Amino acid sequence: MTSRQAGPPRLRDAANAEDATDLRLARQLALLAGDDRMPVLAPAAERARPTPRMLMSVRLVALLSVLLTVGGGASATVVLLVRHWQQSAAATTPDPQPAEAPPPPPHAHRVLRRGGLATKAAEAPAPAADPAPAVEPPPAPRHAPARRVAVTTDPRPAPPEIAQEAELLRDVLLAVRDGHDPHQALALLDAHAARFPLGALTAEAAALRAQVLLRLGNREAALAVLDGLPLTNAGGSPQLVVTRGELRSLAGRCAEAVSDFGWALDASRLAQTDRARALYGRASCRARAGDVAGAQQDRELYLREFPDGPAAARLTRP
Amino acid sequence: MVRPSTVSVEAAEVEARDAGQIFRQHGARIRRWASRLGGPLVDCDDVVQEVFAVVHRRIAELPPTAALPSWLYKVTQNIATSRRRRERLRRWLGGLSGDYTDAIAATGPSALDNIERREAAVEVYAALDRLDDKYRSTIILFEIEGMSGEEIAALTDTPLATVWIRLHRGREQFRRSYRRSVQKRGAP
Repeated sequence: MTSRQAGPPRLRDAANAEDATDLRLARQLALLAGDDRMPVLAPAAERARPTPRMLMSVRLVALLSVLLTVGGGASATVVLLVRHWQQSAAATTPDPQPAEAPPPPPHAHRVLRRGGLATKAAEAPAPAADPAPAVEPPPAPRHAPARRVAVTTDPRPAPPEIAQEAELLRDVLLAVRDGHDPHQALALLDAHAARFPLGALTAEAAALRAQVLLRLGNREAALAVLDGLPLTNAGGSPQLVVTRGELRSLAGRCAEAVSDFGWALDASRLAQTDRARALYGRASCRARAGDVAGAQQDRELYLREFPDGPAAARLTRP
Repeated sequence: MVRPSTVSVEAAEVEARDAGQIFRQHGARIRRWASRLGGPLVDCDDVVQEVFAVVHRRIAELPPTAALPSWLYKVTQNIATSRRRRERLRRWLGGLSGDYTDAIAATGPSALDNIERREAAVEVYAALDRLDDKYRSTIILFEIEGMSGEEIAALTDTPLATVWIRLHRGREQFRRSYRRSVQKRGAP
């Protein structure tokens, strides 16, 4: 018997699928397959976001009740319930003597260890994936706008304008990607700029505008937009910095381009494809600026890391 | 029934039993597994760190005949799964049950491609995370990691026929789930 067997075609290869959803799935799977590093959707700012105390209390108690009841610890559940609500009441009532805060519930720690919240949580099916009827969460509110506010500067709850801004930028994305209409995308970005001149997502809109201009082939305008963005601040996108470096290099601004490539190469979140672009770009700029040793160093690094990279043939040419 | 005994690409690497050498030889692959199995809710660097802590602690217990890549995969999968569930539990307890909603939100200036990748991760993993783990991991290895059925069988120490069955059943559920998810988001 042969050790290999032809498998079914991969979903990402269904480029000729007639169904729009299958096509979308194929494109998205291909994108993820080509990306070594998954985008992480758990930013630190969200972790710091204050959670609704009452909702958290109710869910925690519900979960502990189920776990402990299943494990035969109904009496411990009652004790824990009482202690938990006492603690919640103490925390929400102004305390005339803050120094004498109630001690943490002694049983909670023991019960958690014995009942194994963490262990059971790890072993049991994920609540959202296979929820037990007793702990089925209610339909959740959409939180992204609030996350955006936390990410930018304002810790207060998100004003509705941010949701509208995000919706508008999503339309831009759809216009470019699905409608293949960069002109429509530019019109939407103009509408965004007119409607939200001081919006919280202005930087995102500008980055999108640069991308749309690049798709239209307008490099000068794209570079002008990117020049105005504080891309190399903390939280900046290394990919955009590489793009700006390439545009600066094409415009003959080699010193600035080398600086952009260097920053991107030092960034920890740089994808491999973008790293290859940055190495090649810096080698090219350094060579033009007369930095032969630096160019040679980048060239060797590129060939070592990306022997089959798109620029490898050009770099190995004598 | 075909049941390959080794992963095709690694015959020589199985001999490596030193933690440092394992890191050098398998680090990139473990990071990729961690990233793909963990999905967008999990920071793969944390998973990788924990995997190597386990490797360092347990490598001496691994029988010399055991397939190292399979063992590393199992460790990575267990840790990634545990972290994913813990993250979902944390979000659920905190009222953040909308795990994947509004993924267009980003923490910094977002390029169009970044947003597309983010949206792809959100929509694909929202559907994947509704599947049973055995279907989920098989689909990730086949569709995203690009492994063959034989490689998956060897890596997960599963009969090849079982891999195909999981792939077949899992993909049906996955496509249904994806379709529902996309329709719910109002995407075309």
